[in-house]
Amino acid sequence: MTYLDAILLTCFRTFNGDRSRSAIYHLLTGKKTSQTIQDAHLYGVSNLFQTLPKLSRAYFDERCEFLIEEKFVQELQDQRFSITKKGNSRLVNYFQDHPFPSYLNGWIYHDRAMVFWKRLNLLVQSASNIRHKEKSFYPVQRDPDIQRWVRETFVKWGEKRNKKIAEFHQELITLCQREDFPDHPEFIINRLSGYQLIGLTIDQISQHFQIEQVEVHYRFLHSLHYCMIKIQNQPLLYPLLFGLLQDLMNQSIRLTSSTKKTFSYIEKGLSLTDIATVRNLKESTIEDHIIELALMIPTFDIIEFVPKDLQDDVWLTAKKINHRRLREFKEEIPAASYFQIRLVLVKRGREDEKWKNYSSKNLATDRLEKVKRK
Amino acid sequence: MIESVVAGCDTLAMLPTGKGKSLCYQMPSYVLNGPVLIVSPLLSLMQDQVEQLMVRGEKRVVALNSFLPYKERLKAINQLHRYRFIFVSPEMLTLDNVKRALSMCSIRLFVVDEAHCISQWGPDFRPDYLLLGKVKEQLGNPPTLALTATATEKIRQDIKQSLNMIRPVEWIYSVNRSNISLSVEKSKSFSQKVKLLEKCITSFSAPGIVYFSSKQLADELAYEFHSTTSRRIASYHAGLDQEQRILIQQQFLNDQLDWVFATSAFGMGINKENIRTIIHFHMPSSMESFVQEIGRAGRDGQKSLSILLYLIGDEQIPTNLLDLERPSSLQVREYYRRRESNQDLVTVSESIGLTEIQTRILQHFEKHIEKNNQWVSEVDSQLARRLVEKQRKIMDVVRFVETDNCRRKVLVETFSEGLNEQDDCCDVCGLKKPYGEQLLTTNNDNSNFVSWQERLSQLF
Repeated sequence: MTYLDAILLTCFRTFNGDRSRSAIYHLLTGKKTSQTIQDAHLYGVSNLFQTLPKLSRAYFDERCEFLIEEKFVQELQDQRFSITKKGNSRLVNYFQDHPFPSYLNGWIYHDRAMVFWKRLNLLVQSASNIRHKEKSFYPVQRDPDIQRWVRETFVKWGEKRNKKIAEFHQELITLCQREDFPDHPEFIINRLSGYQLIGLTIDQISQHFQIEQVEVHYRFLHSLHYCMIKIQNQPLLYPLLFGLLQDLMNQSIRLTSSTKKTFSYIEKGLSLTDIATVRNLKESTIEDHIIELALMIPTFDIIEFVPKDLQDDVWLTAKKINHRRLREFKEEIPAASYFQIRLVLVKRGREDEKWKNYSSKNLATDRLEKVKRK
Repeated sequence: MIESVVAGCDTLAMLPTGKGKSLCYQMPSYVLNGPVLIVSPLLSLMQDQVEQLMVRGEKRVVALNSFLPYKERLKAINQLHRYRFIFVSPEMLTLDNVKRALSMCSIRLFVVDEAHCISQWGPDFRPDYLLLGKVKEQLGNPPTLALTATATEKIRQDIKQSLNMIRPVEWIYSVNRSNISLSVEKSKSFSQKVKLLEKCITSFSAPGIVYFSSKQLADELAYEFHSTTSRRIASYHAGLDQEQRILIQQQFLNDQLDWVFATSAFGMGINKENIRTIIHFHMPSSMESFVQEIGRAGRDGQKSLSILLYLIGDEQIPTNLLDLERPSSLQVREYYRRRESNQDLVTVSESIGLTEIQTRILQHFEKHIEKNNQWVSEVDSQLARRLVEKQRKIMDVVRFVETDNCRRKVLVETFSEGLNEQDDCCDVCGLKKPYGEQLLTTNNDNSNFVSWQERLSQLF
């Protein structure tokens, strides 16, 4: 079983036959549609959102076929699968000797992590060359935004440049030396480039550790997200590293442009039906927009769409039946529409913790240590 | 040659890669004191040239291509007059706002890099290049410099004609590189060929490139030999993402790799002086490609080696690729019908299953052949002629492999050139030194993976 297989099994287990396998594909590649975004949150797998943006559909299908063939999952109907007992025990075993990416948070970090990584990469390469008094070198990052950012950073450091570089080096050491660092820091550090020393490719790292590229990718991403969390939590301990992500984390919420339009109409006080008429869109489309808003904007009030009493009913039922099939909800609370049920679940039930619970159940720290020492 | 450019003459220059091609337009730009427009067909190549200029301290450089995010591109277009070196991809020249901005810049020199792409008979034909004549006119017919590394007489004629060059001064350097010894090794089976490759990469001088026509094979063999031999090997092809490609290029430049197992995507624009050996695991599809690829060796003038590994039937690989490239009569007919009923290009190419190249070819014919009931048969016959021409080019390579005469002679004759005798010419003439005894320049084990602590202290 490959690392990707284990990630897929985790998804199958979480979706538990509620969603087709395409939903998993869209989750991992990070398709920005209301459906995928809702799935990610309703089922508590937003951590995996867009963690494999380049996964090809063909390869994805190939791995799913493998899981079916091995009887790790079984088809319920219409491309919906649930994990089997065999699959479940294989999954638990798998993460006993492979690090589980418990710090991964695709939803929060997917694009930010890439900017953070590119900045880190180019900043280190530049710093290293400056340190060795080399003025010209071929940058490993060609993105003009990243290049501009790095240039500006050095301008800001100004006269104190060399001192800052030394401090930056020290911050990286402090970060990688943390007791709770979840994996080998080499997954990040050895990919960095510098003066007459070009970083390793994913392929070269995978050859060194004798693991596949997808696993390298996840373990890299996992460590990267971990670093971002720690830097963000302790900006005074990592002031220079914090500079790499400060503006990224402050960026305002990014909505799809259609959702933005709907939002402006809601702010003007138009009802759902009115907005659909004005915009010449289906009501269900507007409903999707509203759900996206509820997900993205913590302060977004849903009282306009679901009366308080009904909200409470839905939420109580959610706790009681502990299941996510909408049809079962509907049977319990006929008064609520599907849209209203989804909206309440999204608003109150952002289950981002589910992922962490899973990991703490399945991964005692000592196991983690064992893996790290390997 | 630079003199003729500065004097304002149209110039056609065929000079081997690594002979300071970029100098031909950099110098004149400073002398003429005005902006230069450089059309370049390959994104990676363009990026490399831009970087080389920047590394030399020239900041007024811009590259308009699809790598540049849309906003950045708009910004660059609005400030186009500020730049001294403007690189564009041919696609960008079809955009009105780009053309308008360019016509305001009073371009002093119009440079067409890799000009052989203009010729339908060339191996790398780019339909967009055919529009360059018109663009040149719109820019007020500035003096033109057409650059190419390899082009047969016929292709050179095409270039001059398509670019409306007026009494062009021609500078043709020989395609012959006397410091590169040529040899061909035949195998009886695939497994023998793989063993031969292993022998080559362990006994011949690195750094070197091994060319494959299959990504997968390049990956697989690179992986295998990296772990079973003491050589540091990586694979490179268009399937890798940009960050990984840059790392491999730079590791190679930095002598952190002995061999790169690559498809033809690798090597253009790589300024590495000390490449010692070029191996072709698969034969290229034309002598032009062959000359370009082996020309990456020995730019420092030191002795270098080209080895082509041949297995009977290898010529089938480029031939099959040609078949794949050619749209079928049925596809041509359907393309015509659907386009006539105003279907958009993307839908058409998806629904009749055209590859990217096939779409590009048909799009070109659509632009340049008048649409009437003859269109389908006219396109068909042009496609057939193209195929014959390309097959002829493959046979040129086969002739080079099968010859009992001097290989160097066969090579230069493809380009209508003659030759003087020389030492260490080719395996037919006899290589003086048994070339297996050349010295290794690098000797490394694979265990250069260090701890993160050590890596950080190396970096800082």
